[in-house]
Amino acid sequence: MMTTAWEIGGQKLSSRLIVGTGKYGDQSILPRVMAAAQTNAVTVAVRRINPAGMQEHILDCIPKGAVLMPNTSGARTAEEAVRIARLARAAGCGDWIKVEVIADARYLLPDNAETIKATEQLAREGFQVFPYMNPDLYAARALVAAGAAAVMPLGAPIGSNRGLQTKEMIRILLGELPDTPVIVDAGIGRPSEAAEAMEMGAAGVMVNTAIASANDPVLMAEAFARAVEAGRLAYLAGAGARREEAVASSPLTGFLSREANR
Amino acid sequence: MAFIVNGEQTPLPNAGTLAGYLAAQGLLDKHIVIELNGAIRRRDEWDSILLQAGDALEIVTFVGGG
Amino acid sequence: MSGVYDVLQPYEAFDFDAFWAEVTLPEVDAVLAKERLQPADYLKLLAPVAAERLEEMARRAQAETRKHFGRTIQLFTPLYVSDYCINGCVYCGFRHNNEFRRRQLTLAEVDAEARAISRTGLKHVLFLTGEHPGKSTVAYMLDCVEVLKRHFSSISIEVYSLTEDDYRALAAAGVDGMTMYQEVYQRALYGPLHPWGPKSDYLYRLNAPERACRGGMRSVTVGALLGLAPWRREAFYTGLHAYYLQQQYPGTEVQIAPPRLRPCLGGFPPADAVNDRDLVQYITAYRIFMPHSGICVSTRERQGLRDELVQLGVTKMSAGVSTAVGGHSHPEQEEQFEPADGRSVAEMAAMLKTKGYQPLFQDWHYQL
Repeated sequence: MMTTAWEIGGQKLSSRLIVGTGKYGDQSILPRVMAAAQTNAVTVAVRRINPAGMQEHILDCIPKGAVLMPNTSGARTAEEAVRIARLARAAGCGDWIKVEVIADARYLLPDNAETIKATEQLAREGFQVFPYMNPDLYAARALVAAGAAAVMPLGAPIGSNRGLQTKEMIRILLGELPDTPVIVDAGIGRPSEAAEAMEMGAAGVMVNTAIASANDPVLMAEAFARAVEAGRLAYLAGAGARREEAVASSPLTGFLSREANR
Repeated sequence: MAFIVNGEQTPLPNAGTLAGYLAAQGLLDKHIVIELNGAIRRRDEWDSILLQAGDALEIVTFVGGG
Repeated sequence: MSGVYDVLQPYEAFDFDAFWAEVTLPEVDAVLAKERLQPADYLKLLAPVAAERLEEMARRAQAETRKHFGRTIQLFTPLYVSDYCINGCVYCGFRHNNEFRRRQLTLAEVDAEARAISRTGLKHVLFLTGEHPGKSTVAYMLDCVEVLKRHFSSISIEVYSLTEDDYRALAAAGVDGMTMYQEVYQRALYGPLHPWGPKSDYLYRLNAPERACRGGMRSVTVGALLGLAPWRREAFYTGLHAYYLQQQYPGTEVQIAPPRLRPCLGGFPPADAVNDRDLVQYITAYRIFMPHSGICVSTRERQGLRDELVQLGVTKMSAGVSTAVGGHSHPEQEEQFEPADGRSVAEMAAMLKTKGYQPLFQDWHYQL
C-alpha cells in the first residue's frame, strides 16, 4: 500500500498499523495475521524463559525482516523499564523499544513521570524510544524533548476495546506537536476507531486485543488494514467545507456598509 | 551448592561454564538473552564465564505481547 | 532557530499579490471549515477575495472569542512617562527632530498620574517611554514600577528594545507584559521609515519580544503600524510572529494589536490605505488563526468602530486615554498621536454593558 508506507525510528514500515502479538491462543496464526494486516512491524514482550514454551518461539512466528518493537511490560518504574530495554536490545533484533511503565494493575494506565525518566535514559543510550503514555500535553512535550521517536497515547485502557475515549486529548497532541509522529495505542476496539484516529492525523495505530480476541483474527486484521488505509487517505485528501449555519438576518459586519469607509 | 536461575534456587553443576549450563538445558541455540548478577553478558562471552554459588542468572526471551 | 526572522525571511521574496490573486472562494470556505488553521490558511483569509466571506469570518471569530475569552473586554490605559526620544521615525510625533517641550515625569509625578488613573477604577496600566537610554534608563523604569505597584495590579511596558537581562529584571520587579510594535515587518521598507537612531536596527527590535519571553515576561503584544506598508503582508507577518512566539514559548500569553496610523505632530501621510473593512478582515482572520491569542484595540480607532469591534474578536481596549506625558494630570502636553475615542473609563464600561460584555478591570495581579 503505497499511501501507508512510512519511515520512522530509522526503519521503513509498510503499513501504519502495528500489531501486538499477545493474547493469542495459538501463536502460529501470527504469520497470517501479519499478512492480512499488511504490516511488517509487531510488538513483543520480554519474559523469563519458560522451558516448555521454547518449542514454538514467538520469533519463529514472525517473518524474517519484520521490525520488532519489544515493550517493557512488567516494568513498574523507570529503572525496571531501562533494564528490560537493555535486555531486549541484547537479543540483537534492533534498537526499538516501547516504554511501558505501569504500576496500576486494575486499569493498566501508564505512569507518565516514570515513562519520561525511562525515555530520557534510553534515548541517551541510543534506543529508538516509543513511549506509551496517558495523553497529557506537557508529558508529550517532555517525551519529545527527551528524544522519543514518537509518542503513543492511549485511546482507552489496555484491553478495554472502548475506542478513542481520549480523543480530545489526542487532538490536542496532534495540534501542538505537528512534527512528532503520534501513534494511538491501546483501547482501539474496532476498525472504525482506527480509521477515526488516522483521519484526525495520527501517524499510525497499534492494535492487539481487538484482533487477538476476534472470532476470526485474520479477517479482523484485514479489516483493520483497510480501515487504517481509509483513514489515512481521508486525512491526506482533506475534509471539504461544510457550511453548517445559515447566515443570520442581523449581520455582524452590516455596519461596514452603513458608514463610509475611511 | 546452588545458584539462582530466573528467581529459583537451582543446584549448581560442577565445573560448569555458562555455555555448558545452557547447552545442558537445551537453550544454547535458542533466542535468549542472559543477565548474570545484574549485567547483560554477550553470547560470545558465555564460553568463558564460570558459574559460581550464589550467582543470580536471568534467562529471558521474547514472547507475545502488546 | 536563531529567531523569528528565520520564519519571516523566506517570505521576503514571496509574490504575495500573485498568491492572493489565485485564491478562490471554495478555498476560503475550506479554510473556514477547518478547526485549526496553519499559517498558509491564515494567508488565504487575508486575500482580497476572502472579504466576500467577511460575515462568516466575523461569526467564526465571535464564536471562537466567546469560547476562549467569554463576553469580556479587559480595560487599561497607557501612561506616558517620558517623550524624550533619539530616534528619527518619520511617522511619529515624538521623533527627535520634532520641536516641542519634552518631559520625563519625576517619580512624584508618576505617582500623581497613577492616582488620577486609579480613580477611574482601572487596575491594568501600560507605561510608555520614548527611546532615550540616557534619560529613560532601565533603573528609572524600575523606579516607576515600584510607584505603579502601589496603584495597579498589572503593569505592562511599551518601551525601547531592551536586553534579555533588562526584561528579566523588569519581570522580577513586577512587570507582567511588554508591547513591542515592529511598526513595519517588510524589511525593505523598514529602513527609510527609521532612518537613524537605535530603532533603525530592524533585527534587534524584531527579536525584542523573544528576549522578553526568555526574560520571563508573562505576556507579549506584537503588531505592525498599519498604513506604513502594504497592510495584508504586515498582517500576515504579525500573525507569523505571534504564532512563532506561541510555539516557542507556550507558557507566555501572546497578543497582537492592529494600530492604524493616526494624525500626529509633523503629519505623516499613510503609504497604504487601510479601511474599516480591511481592519475587520485582519482582526477576524487573526482570531480564527490564533483562537487563544488576545487582540488589543486602542483609541487610534474612533468610537463607533470600536463599539462594533467589541463583538468581533477584540479582548482588550484602552479607555480614558491621553497619549501625552502626564496627560492624565496635565492635559496641555504634546500627544504621541491624537486619540479618536476620548471616552472615559466609565463611558467605556457603560458601552460594554449595553452590548452584554463585562468590562474586566483586574485579570491578574503581579504578586501571583
